[in-house]
Amino acid sequence: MLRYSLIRVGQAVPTLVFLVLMTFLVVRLAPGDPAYALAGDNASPQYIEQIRHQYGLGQPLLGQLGAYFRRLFSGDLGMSYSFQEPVTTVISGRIGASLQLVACGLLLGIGGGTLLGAYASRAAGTVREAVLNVVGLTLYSIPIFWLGLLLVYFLAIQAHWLPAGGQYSFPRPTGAAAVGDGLRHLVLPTVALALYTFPVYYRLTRARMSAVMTEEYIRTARAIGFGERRVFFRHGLRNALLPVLTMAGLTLGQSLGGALLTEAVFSWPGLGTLMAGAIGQRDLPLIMGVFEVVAVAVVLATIATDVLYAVVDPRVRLT
Amino acid sequence: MKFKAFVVAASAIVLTACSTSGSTNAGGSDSLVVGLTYAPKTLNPDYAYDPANYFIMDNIYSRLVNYGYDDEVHGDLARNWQKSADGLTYTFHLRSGVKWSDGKPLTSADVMWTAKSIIKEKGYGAAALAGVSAVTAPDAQTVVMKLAQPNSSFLDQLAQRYGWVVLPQHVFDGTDVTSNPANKKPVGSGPFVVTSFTPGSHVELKANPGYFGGAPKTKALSFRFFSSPDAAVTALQSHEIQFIANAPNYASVPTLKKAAGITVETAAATPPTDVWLGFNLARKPLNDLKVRTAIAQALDPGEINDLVYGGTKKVSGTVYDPSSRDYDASARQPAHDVAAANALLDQAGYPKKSGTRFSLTYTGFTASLAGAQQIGEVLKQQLAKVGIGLKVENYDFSIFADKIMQQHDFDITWSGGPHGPDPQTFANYVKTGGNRNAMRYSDPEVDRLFDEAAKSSDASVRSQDYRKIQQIVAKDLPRYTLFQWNYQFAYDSRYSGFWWQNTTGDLPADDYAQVTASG
Repeated sequence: MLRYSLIRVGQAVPTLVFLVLMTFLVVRLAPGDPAYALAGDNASPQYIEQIRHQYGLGQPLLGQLGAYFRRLFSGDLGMSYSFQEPVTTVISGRIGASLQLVACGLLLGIGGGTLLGAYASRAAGTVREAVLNVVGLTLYSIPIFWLGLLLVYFLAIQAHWLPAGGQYSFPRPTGAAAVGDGLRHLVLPTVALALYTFPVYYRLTRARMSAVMTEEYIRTARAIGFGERRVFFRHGLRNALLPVLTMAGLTLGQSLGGALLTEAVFSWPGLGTLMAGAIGQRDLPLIMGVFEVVAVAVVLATIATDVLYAVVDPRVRLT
Repeated sequence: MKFKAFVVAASAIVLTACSTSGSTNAGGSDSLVVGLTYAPKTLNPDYAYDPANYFIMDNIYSRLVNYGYDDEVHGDLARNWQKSADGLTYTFHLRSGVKWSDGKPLTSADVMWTAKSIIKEKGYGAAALAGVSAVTAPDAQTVVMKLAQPNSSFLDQLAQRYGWVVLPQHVFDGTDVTSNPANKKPVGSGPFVVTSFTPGSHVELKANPGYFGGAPKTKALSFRFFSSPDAAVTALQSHEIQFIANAPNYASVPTLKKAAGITVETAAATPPTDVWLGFNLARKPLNDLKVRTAIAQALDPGEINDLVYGGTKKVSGTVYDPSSRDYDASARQPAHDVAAANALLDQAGYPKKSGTRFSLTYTGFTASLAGAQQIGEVLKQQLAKVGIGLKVENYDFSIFADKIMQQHDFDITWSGGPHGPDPQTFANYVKTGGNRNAMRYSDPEVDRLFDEAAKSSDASVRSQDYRKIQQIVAKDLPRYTLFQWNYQFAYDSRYSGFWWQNTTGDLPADDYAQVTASG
């Protein structure tokens, strides 16, 4: 088990190095001078030169790369131009908001999708199942960005029920009011993100449940005389959830990507808006830092899923 | 069935969360939330240029002198001042009893220290202090600045909108000023005090009850930073913010005008700001005055204004801004005349070959607030009428700035910037080596006139010099002035007291101390 885990981690190293290298090259080779974006429209050439020197932008590309890898290994992602703070400080200040959104969105999306999928498999052939299928397929086809804008337009701008964006109101409420205020701000982005993951789990669980419920051990369980509820949940759903588990690991990574878009729509102060701002400012260390943190998170989530799957299904370790 | 119960319960949770929310927070009557599509890196404008601070700093700090919305120089920390007969010594008398937000008294030592520190750190405001040979503080309420040579623009340069706020010596002295924590948690002497700053997200401020200009009417002021203009507009429509400090994008103005509870008003830019087209004088055929004149004749700024800005900008036809000092209304650029332009181009030796004489490139940038991208498309049509082909290229702002200012890789470009109120500002754009002179225009007479005007203490000499400069530039056409800039500000209709609505005129732009809400 340990050996398997170590091998999986080892396999991830080249992936990560490649990702870092790609990020570095793509960003550096793009046209445009970051010193200009930093110094501003009215700055004198001397001031721009000073900035360029300060951030080592004058060094040759290879020198910049070597220095970058050295610092990366010591956990230093460099200084953010636009925040004038270490990239790690900037990211750690924002990652919480992103994780909160991803956690809530995934919980609602995966939980809702799985349960409704299971429900649909029970209701096979009924109008209810047909309705759920149409809803699922429609949501599956809608871009998350557009869906978010629709939610904002109807629920925030027209109805004034929920805030259109942000993580809290200003001036900041305190005490119990702050909790309610935070929850209200969380609703729309969570729903948008959940609607993005929901159809995948709905379809997966429905298909798996339909297959599992025809297995022989289900028939056996029924023959023994277990109640229908126990057969459905303990014998049926539990087995159907294996592929859902695999999928969840992958979705965690994808959701971070989805959350970046969701954050942009809802002005959610997480890594997504951070990334958007960093791109606008050509804040190279920050762009690379966010990208690398997200990449590492995706790779780690994939490894965790593999390992978890091996725990659940011993056959995996043997291959 | 259990599932049904769960599904019902799950939907109920979501629906309850929606329905119990009631209406969204619309700010209290004594609070104001301002949206901004820039985010400041720090809250200290003295050591680094950061455009977002334009919108915030006057609420936190005070200056020695500043510009009011009327474009006149007003005393801020300085109660009054005297200039010596030789024009070399300025004596400023400070207000007494002014306190920093941490309770310590603000004295002339702080002003002196700030000036020296800006010079030492080569901050953005160092240009204003370039001619200062000595700063002294003979007593706690007096600051004396000595100049190496007379500079008629000195007060204007001190009042310039960026990079010269007075900082507390007791907080900064002896520290690394660029990394001092007070850059993000400022100690100021302005109408508001910062209570929290989350870079990239928001700044929260509360009223400074002891402010020397009187306690602000707004008790709580917040700035929220948005990554896109559309997100800021959405927040205004849902009344989560009450104002967009750097104006909404043009595309959203018609929607906002129709929106309930939102007012859109036009306000002149302060200091006066113009938009122009720059010609690359190092390239053929733009180095030919006849070609530049013909292009100017082919242009119809009125049409550009209508198509790109909904007719909201002012077109003067002159080279300089009408609201600036020493403006010369007779320094007019060539009038729109397509026939004359065609004739002039024939004469210059660029006959039409299958409809086209030659092709140029227009370089713009994509930020939607400026309209630089859209202008290119209109220009293309206007120049086609005189047989000039135009390739339109638009870039992200930093790439654009690099192409124009560093590489000088453009034929025609969009540009905009302050034109006054001090006419010496124009030197940035048309004096040899001016830091915004991307056209690389160089005229010895223009340079001489700028130098003479700066040194002269005679207002009539200066006025003559500046008028002559405008006449020369209008004929030489290194650039073509399109319009005078203004803003279409959108705000929550319950609020009033913004700087452009203030009748006394001494309130600086972006100062929210007088804003109040009715009801």
